[in-house]
Amino acid sequence: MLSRKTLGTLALMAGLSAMVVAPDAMAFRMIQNNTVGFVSAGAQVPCNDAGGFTHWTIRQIIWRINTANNPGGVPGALDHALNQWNGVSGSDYDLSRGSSNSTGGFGTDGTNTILWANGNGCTGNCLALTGLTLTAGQVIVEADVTFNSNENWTTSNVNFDIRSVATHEIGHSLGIHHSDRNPLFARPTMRAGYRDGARTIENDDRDALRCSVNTFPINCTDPCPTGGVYDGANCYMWSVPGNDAFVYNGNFYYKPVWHPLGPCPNVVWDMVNNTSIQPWFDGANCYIGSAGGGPNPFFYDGNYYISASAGANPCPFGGTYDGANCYMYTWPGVDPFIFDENMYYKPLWHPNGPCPHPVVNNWLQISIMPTFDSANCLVQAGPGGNQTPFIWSNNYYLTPVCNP
Amino acid sequence: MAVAVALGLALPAGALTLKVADLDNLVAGNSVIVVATVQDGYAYWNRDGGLLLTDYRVAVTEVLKGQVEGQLTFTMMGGSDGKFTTLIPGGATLLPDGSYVLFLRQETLPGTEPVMTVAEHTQGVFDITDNGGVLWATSQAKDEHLVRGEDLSEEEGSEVPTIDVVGGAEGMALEELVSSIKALVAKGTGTQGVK
Repeated sequence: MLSRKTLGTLALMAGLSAMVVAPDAMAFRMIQNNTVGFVSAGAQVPCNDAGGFTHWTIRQIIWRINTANNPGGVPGALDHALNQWNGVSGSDYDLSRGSSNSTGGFGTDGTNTILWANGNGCTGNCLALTGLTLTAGQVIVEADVTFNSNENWTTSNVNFDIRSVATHEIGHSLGIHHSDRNPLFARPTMRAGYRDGARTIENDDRDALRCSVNTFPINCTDPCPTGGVYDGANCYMWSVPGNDAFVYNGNFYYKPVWHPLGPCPNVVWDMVNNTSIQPWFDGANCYIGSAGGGPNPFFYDGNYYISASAGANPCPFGGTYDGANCYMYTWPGVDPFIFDENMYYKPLWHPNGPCPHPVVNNWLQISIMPTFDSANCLVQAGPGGNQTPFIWSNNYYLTPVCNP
Repeated sequence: MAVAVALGLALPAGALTLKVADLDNLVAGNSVIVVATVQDGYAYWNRDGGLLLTDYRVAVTEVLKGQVEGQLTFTMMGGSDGKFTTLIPGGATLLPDGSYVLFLRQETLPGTEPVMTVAEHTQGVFDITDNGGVLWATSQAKDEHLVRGEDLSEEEGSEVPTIDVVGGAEGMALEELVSSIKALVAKGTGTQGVK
């Protein structure tokens, strides 16, 4: 968490940059929390504390931006912050910004979200706040950062600089507490800062991340914990069924399959023009024809009629007079409906249903039948967390949580 | 500090003013200020089910601002249900039986209606300890990013002045803190601007 209390030390630091100040070895601190029930913050502990500290058990961590209330320049600023920590030698962390935005908030929802809000417990003197979700063993499973949207945020290296604050908060997300090192220059980002040098991490920050990596190394015995087969780079899940497969919100779909003759295969007889017509698909339904402005269109035995008119010509809007009404169109063979005086029927799926194609995992020799969600065929819900699904070369993959 | 002095840099002027101003801000910005001892806490998931909160019940020994009688319950972000823990790095820490000076106000936390909370986080909590027979109050913000001697530029033209944490890293006598707060409250500080 940052408050504005330590604002402004950096101009002087820049002026004194020629000085040499002996570094405070191991001044960085890690976040420790072993308590159950009575919790709020975390203790500042050194790397070798017997009680351990908070840490991830994965290395590929994806951040997503909730764009509501965002100031300008957030994606670039987040990329900057993530790259600061990615660049630490001796660390195998791989932090990235997800290609899709987050709709999540400040809470445990499976997505590491960065957002701007006037609330979330970060108001007044609070500039930004990181929340960690831990499971047993002080394992971080999610992190979220909320920025105070009431402040003036910039990317121009003046107060308050998003890059500087994001770099600091991402450090918290990695289990790093505020540093005890408080030098005149090369001030660790985990000492807090809002501009200038705080945009870049310093050796003290790097030491903190290496402490985490070395204390809790990843023994990658299961790069694909949510399923799939590790192919040396990613988790191979399913072969794509060849019907416009796509990934949406992390879930794997393919588009539903129409009747072999198209979505509107059933012809009807147009009694107005005394000809057969092929209904056309308007993107949602099969349009047959209109009532021509005639009164009271209705169905009887699936056929489409309008009421007859008084006078010499009982069907001035067309159709065949059957002694009582004007017969407009024949029954299309499926349930028709009237909308805005027009006659439609619903498109026809493949004889085996809208999702007729099984999806096969050739490696595991299994197949599944997708489920129709009323719009598309859901093959598999996304794994959530930090694995990103993608389709490549007609196959569906997830990124692994680690690489052996 | 030693480095700064060795360089012949000017020490920050008016540190006491800065300290008082900071306390003034705390008093003005919070509707309830108490000296209290934590009795128990209860963690639970918020309305959205995404964040653990903890309700703390404290026994109030002295009310410095606001109207409180006996016990007080307030809410803080963070908590544990035994399986999951929500942790706010740099947030305030309250322990069972711990005694504190607490600065509280109403805020809407994620998934709550407005609740009484320590909105200033570590700046709004002072640990009370026995310091050689004298009750001592130390801001929990001292462990965060306390402005020390080398942070002289704070007085040298920063756009937004900053101040040292109330009581400094070493803390101050509880009696002194309490009397300072009372004086500010009596002066009317806080009648405006309570958030």
